[in-house]
Amino acid sequence: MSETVLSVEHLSVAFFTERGVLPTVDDVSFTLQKSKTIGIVGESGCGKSMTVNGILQMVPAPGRVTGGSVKLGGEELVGMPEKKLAGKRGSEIALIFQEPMTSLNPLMTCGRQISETILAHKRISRAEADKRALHLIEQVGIPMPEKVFHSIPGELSGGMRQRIVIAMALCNNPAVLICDEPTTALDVTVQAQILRLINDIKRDFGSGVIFITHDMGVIRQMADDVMVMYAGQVVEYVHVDELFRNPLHPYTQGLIRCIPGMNDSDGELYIIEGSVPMRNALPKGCLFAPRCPYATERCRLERPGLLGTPAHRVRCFRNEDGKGVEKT
Amino acid sequence: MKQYLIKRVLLAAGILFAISIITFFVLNIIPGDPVALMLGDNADPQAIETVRHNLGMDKPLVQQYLEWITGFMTGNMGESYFQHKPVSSMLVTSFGYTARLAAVSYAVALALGLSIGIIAALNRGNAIDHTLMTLAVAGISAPSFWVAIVLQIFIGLRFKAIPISGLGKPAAYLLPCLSLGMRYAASIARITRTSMLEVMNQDFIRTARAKGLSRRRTVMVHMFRNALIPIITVVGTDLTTLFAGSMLTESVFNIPGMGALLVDNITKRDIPVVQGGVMVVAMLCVLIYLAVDLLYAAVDPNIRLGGDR
Repeated sequence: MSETVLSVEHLSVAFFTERGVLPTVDDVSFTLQKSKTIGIVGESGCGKSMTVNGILQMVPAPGRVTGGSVKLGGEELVGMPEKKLAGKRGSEIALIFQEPMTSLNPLMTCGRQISETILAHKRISRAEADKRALHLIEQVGIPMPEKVFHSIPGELSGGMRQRIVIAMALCNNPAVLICDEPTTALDVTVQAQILRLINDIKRDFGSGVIFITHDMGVIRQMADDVMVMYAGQVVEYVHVDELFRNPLHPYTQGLIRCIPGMNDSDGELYIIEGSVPMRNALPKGCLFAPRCPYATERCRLERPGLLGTPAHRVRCFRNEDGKGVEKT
Repeated sequence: MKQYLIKRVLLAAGILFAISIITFFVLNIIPGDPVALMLGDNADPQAIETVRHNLGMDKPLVQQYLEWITGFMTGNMGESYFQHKPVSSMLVTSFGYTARLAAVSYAVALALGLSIGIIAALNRGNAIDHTLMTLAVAGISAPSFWVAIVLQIFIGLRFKAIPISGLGKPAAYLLPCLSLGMRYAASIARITRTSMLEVMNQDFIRTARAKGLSRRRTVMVHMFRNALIPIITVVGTDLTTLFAGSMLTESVFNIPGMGALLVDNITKRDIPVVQGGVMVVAMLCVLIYLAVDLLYAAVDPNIRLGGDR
């Protein structure tokens, strides 16, 4: 029952600018099984969304995939001709965006936007596609589907629009569903509904889900495995339960301490000092060293690889022996 | 929508009424007496008085206006002082030329401008884009009468089949329509490119791509339609200037259109002709702007809904 739908190996993305080559995604590897969710967490600018663009072969210029491999159902996407890629996108691999307010065409009815996605991949009549679109609108829990079918996005609320985006992503039963911060722009009650919907989809459609967020609370609800990213690198990769029970990377520990209510001490919100380094000014050693409370001389000079056990990988010298480091 | 339409039509009527008053009174108070021009410098004052009386020019201005406007509404625009022909028939002839010239030129301009703009936008920053946009700037900067003369010299005089004056044969449209159309093509190309570039960076274009739509469909259905509003605005303004007659191009190619008619009769102080001409052009402008507003609503349902965008 563990069927691999997507395997990403050593994926790297870089931007070629006047200021030089900026590595944006550095050597990211993971495999995604059917009906499983892999969560990607990290602050803004950690390369989460660029990883997604790299998987879809949609890195905007002047960036491009510089290495690695992305296999979707055994087929290599890196270097695949654009026409063939278009056949995969929206059918075998689908994307739900962060901004439901702007990710739909403002001039086209919601129903048409869904049915054109179906028509792009299946040879069926327009009427059939419309029928299927209507059914999908109903499936994602929209009341009065007929009315919404003929509505333009401007007539709908953010939550409704996000449901339309989800219906659009689902319309060809994708093997892989990528959710790029799907609930960030929504308010909390709507957020909970959308998250439940995504989990239902995973169960009913059997898609593998890549779930990107900067919200550790959401990750805990959604993910099976979690990949913590920092400055374009994976710094920790482990099952979600283990991640919260025994986070090994200082960055992950910091992220968990940042969750309101997870605070052990005096109720004051914890913050990780500093910010993600600019890609044109990366530290020589460990990328997190400048913000790390445990950084040593070695951390500042040498860059750690992904260490630890296969079940719990971590990019930190403190874990070189493969055993957990005691929490402080 | 219905309410909006009624409001627009009433507004249009008001604007036309205002224009009729302004043109009438301005034309009647500018210096230069048509009768004196008609009879020459040494005319007998008595004779001038008689002619003025015959033409109804000795009545109070307000009465003259009322007579003219009621006539206008029933289709009687009066008679030319000099040619003694009904103004309406003169306008029909001249406007026929202008309209044919405008329609063909603008069709050329749209075909060229839209495709150049789209191609340039899709090739942003590379040699194709730079070449096309340099051409567009040249097209906007070159005065169309100059382009007209250049075309006459280099094409018209070389190929005898292509006439350099009038609009008699179909081949005669080539040069005037090219010289007029190029200028408009250039401005359409520029606005199309700018507008397309703005749309290209929007999230829903990324969505279209992530949905696996073909490039053609992404460009034509998702980008172009969203880029249309500013283009429609430009098209509307262009058409109003075109229908008012392109005086210079018309005179270079010896085409007796609206521009030529108006300029001729302004210098002659043939007031009924000028008044009629101005009113017809004004009505057309108002109609075009009304059509533009309706087109906005047709393209963008958000406007129809009265929502913000």
